[in-house]
Amino acid sequence: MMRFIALILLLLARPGAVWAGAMSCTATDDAAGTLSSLPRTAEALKPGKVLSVLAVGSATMFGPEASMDPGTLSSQALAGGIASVPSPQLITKPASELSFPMLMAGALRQAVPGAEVKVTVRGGRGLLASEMLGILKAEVATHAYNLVLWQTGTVEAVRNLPPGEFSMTLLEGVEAVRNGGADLVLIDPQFSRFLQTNANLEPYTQALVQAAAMPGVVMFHRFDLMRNWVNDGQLDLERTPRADRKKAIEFLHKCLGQQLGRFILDSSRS
Amino acid sequence: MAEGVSRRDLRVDLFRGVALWWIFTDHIPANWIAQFSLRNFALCDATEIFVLLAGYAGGLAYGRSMDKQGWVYAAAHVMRRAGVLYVAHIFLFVVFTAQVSYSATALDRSDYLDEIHLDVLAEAPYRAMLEALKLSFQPAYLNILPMYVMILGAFAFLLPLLRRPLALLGVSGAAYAAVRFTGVNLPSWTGGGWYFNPIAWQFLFMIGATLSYRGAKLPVPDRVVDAVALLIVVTGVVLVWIVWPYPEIENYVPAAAARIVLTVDKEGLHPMRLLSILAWAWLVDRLIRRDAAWLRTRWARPFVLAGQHSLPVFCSGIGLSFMGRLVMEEYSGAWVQPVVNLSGAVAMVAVAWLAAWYRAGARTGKPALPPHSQADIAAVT
Repeated sequence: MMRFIALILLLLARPGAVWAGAMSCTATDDAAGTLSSLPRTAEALKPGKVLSVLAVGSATMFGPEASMDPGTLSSQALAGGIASVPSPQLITKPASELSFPMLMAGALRQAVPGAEVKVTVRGGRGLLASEMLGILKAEVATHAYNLVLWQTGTVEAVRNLPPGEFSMTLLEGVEAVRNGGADLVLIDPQFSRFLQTNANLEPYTQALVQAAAMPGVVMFHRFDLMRNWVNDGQLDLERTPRADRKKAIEFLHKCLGQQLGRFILDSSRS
Repeated sequence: MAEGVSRRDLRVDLFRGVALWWIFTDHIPANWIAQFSLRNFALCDATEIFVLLAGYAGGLAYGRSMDKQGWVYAAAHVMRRAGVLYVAHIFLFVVFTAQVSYSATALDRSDYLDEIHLDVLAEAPYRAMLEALKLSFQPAYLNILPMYVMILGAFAFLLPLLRRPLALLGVSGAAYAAVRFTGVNLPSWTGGGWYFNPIAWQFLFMIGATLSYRGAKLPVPDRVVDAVALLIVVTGVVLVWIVWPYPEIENYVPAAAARIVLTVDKEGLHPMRLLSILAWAWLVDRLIRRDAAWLRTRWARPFVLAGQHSLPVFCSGIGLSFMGRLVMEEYSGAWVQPVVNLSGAVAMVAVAWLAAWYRAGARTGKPALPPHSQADIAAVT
């Protein structure tokens, strides 16, 4: 009943006001996810139990190093002979301890002493949601995860792919994760002025928000979070001089890890 | 309808102008004023208005041309228009590439983001040119014109069917149904299909063309259509204002219903979007009289003028939204949004005004702004 009243109160507010709360890397007031919940995560995130997390996404999921690695695509283009769009690259190395999914695990362990958190990161550079869906299905079919993090949407936006198909892929993923007995946290693209200017993110973000409406699914608004950090002057990668960028990216992963951990805690308590 | 042709329907011009303005505002991300455009209170958006009214204007202009000069002449006219739009699209593509390279350089594009690896323009620039010419590479915000070009291409062949509206709607509707049932789409180089699938969207254009050429008499009383249209519009408002911004509400409705609501796709013109634009058009037609005096006031004038010269206004609107995005990428002060929106709107009206002035000059040898009532019916597309 309380949830329903909270919902009505939310409806009275203007659209868009929900995520506009002051979020920052240090201050951690965050209204996100108070209405949806992560029951399986709540069940597993307890002292003496193991929370098994699968993280599927692009290079950023693997840590600062992977985010900065230029990959091999540019040299291919220079050598000539690229006949199609850049092909995706699976990353087979394990994720760095400095990556935000790993740091999220640390934040959860700290918040719930005695609880064990295991994180497996899968994915790679330039993967479409439909390609990640294959990985995701295979993983949840063979392992017993309690929580899945799925970061996607950037490639679709940059390539201007039909958003409806993206939406269908997300819903299929939601189903696979739920059938696999896990909760799902969807993570949207990073904030970047360049991305915002040169790609139309809106339909893809909307698809993510809508998929997060399903029970057991929540959305971590990385874009809004990072935009707020930029606007507050806390962390602005695009305006950071090249020399300081490595440090800034590490800081970004730390912030995202903390915030994601906090967000998952909040979502699994409600 | 026949007796109405002599006097131009200014409502069509007005709403085309409004749609062009909304397309401009919607093409600038995080634009404050864009939250007041149609997509914020309806299931459809400015694209649907643009295509429906393009069909309406096209049915009138080319239908009349066909009646006077025959199909081949009218079809040639349509193809010439498609050619102009194609060239305009290629020009805008060049503007796009310039914008990307400018913002990449200006921002000292950092290598921390994944998207640098996804930028096909940087990875395979020569191939991208070829694919752009084939319309199979459509960057973000450049997908309405390719669809429109393809629709006009099809319309040139379907023109004679204007005289047999049921046959036209049958052929067109069958293609639409094929998209809805099989997902068939034109290929895109970057994967997937076209952002706006012309095989689906042509249906809306042909509906518009049929309505204007012959007019329509529905077999049900107007009051019944009013009620149905109102229901559709209200449903859209509920979905857009309540369900989409607060999707948590779907925890309280059956999963099957939620699934339908969540999969209203734009690329294939989902039936709910199609119904939404038709319902809005019906209600507007019922609520605003064709001869309403305010359509001739100075407040309506900028929109009417823009709607009457939609091609140059559309192209400049897209070009201006590129510039607006660049400005908003560079600066974040409070002045940015009002300045971008105001200068964009003023520039679009200026383009429309200039086009009207020039066209009047081309016809009479003496450029002047034509009064509303004498505006040239052939100038509709």
